[in-house]
Amino acid sequence: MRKSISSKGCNKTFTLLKDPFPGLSNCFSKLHSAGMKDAHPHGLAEHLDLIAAMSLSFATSLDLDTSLKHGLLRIADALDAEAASLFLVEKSEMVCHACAGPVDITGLRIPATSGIVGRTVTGRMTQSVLDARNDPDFHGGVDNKTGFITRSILCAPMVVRDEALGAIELINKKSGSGLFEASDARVLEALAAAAALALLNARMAQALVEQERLKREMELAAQIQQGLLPPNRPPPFPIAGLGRPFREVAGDFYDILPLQDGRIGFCLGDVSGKGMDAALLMAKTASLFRALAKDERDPALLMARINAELCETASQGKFVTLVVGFLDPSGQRVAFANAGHEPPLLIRPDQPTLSLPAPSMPVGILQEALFETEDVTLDGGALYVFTDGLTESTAEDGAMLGAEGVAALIEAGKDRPLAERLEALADGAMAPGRAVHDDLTLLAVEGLQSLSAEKDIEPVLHLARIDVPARPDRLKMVRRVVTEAATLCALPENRSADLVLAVDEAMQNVIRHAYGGPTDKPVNVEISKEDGHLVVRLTDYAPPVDQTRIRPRELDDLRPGGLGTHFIQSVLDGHQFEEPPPGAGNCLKLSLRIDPSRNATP
Amino acid sequence: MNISLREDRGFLVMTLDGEADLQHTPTLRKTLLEAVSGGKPVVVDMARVSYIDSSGVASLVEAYQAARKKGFSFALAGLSPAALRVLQLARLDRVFTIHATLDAAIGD
Repeated sequence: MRKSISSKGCNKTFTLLKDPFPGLSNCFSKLHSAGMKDAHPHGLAEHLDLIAAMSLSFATSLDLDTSLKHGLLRIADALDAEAASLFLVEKSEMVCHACAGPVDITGLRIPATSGIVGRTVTGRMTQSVLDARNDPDFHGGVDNKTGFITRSILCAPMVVRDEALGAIELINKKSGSGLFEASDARVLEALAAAAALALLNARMAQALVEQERLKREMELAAQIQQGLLPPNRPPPFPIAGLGRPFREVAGDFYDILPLQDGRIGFCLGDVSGKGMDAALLMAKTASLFRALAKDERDPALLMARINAELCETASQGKFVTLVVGFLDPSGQRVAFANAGHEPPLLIRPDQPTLSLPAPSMPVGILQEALFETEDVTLDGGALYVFTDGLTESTAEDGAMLGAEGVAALIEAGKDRPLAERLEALADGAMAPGRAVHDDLTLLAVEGLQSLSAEKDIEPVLHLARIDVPARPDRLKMVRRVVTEAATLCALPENRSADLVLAVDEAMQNVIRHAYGGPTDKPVNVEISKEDGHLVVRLTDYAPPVDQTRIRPRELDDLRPGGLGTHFIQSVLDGHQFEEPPPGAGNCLKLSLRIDPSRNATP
Repeated sequence: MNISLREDRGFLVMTLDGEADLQHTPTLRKTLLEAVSGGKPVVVDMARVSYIDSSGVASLVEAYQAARKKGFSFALAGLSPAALRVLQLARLDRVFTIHATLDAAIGD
């Protein structure tokens, strides 16, 4: 009777009904076969137009209550009833959806088994009550409140497929004896059956529309979600990810974020629950990571800020297991924090595989939760972060893959480039005979092979930092540290001596000229390897110096002193004042090129 | 750093041992100026000076000027490559009289 409904045409389900009133034809055949011995000459046939019109109204309207109301008014009119009401079953209650007559009881709720209506629905039999006052089931509450007097009642169930959806009740026949006749009962039964069928069709159509709407919504959400995952960059970029949603909308996500200072931020999370709510929480967590990662060096503090934001606007009972971290600019060290997430695996050549369990609870639960930062060295290996969709994938016998299975799959693909290795890992978990029951989301952080190969990243390798009081007796210590750093960078002895001299002279200038003499106020000495240079930064807390007054000595002038600045200029490849950090006075950057071709003494 | 003085074959020999940096410059400068006012030619033995900075160099320059004023000679001996490098940077390697060894300075 119904054509197949394409997803496109579901809004027009009603018009696809060839015969919208099959129940009605059944009614006719039943009535005829029963012989209709007391069929009134003005019975069903007389009301065919009404039945047709009412059924059409149901079939073409999306506003069921309005259709029910119009239909009921016409029924009351046709059967000459003083009042009429239509009740629908809703769980354990009956609710009045339409009514006609002097008293409006639309919205009235009564227990499903109560009154004449309840008896009609429960027994699925038409009830004809000649004198309501003498019927034990008659409630009379409305009469008592309104002064309306109920005398006779005719009530027919709205039955379709053996289920009573509700009932139509007529009250007080206005003409003749004031009582409803057998022919009235049959007309009402036919009308009620038609209404029931129309109602069922409308409900099914609505469910289809809703289902279709949800499906479109999910498809859209899936598109948005896939758009949130960053595309993998070609090697030698050291971080790659992979996401394979189990359903259209995943509760997992990851992100990779190269930062201006050379670090690369990453995160991977799994949102509790599935569907739209989870997807929205996922999008929110991912954007919090993007917004906050730039300003936070410590993964534990970053996690705490994300947690605080999520808790402030938490959706009920939803939480996120999350790993956030940074690969440092040297490309060798990873610092990360783990909030309740599956333990990441650290797999390094010639070292046992380490599983690193989360020390903290997931984010989004407790505002005051504390998180820890874990520091690991990659040593030519990689850190693998993944969701439990991977470890909980099963073999034919139901055995879960587990961390050991994951490590074995990684080992099998270890010679592939990073992104391909992750694909192979996911393929391995989904191999024939195996089953995946959740989203698969993976991310791996690999050590950089070459510091200078990656142009996107300015490698800064921090070597040492000491804070000393601005006193001559601390110069020896500074020289020692600079010497050590130079040795670490394999600087030849003569170049090392030059750097030590320049730093010493600059320190003396700070003591004598910036601070105006020895003091316990501090000088920060920071040594790093930057862009092929050994760099020493001296930061003091003296008033800013007038840089134009710093001049080297004239060399033919034999006055003692004034030599220091000349030394600095002679031996270094660069020296300049930088914007000092907040609270500091001056920051002098001294740099010496680490270049074998220039390492010979001139 | 340690500073010692002795007379040898008519010279006042001043031996420096350690790092001639800002921490020790006041002592070094005072001892040098006293030495050059003693009425004898002065030789500074720098064989055991591992480091010298601009303040150390300045003290040597001051002593050199004081000795010249009084007409006595002032020489340096046994400079390490590191110390010589610093004097070269200051272009003072041609101003001072520099001997390879102490013996070369006070011998015939």
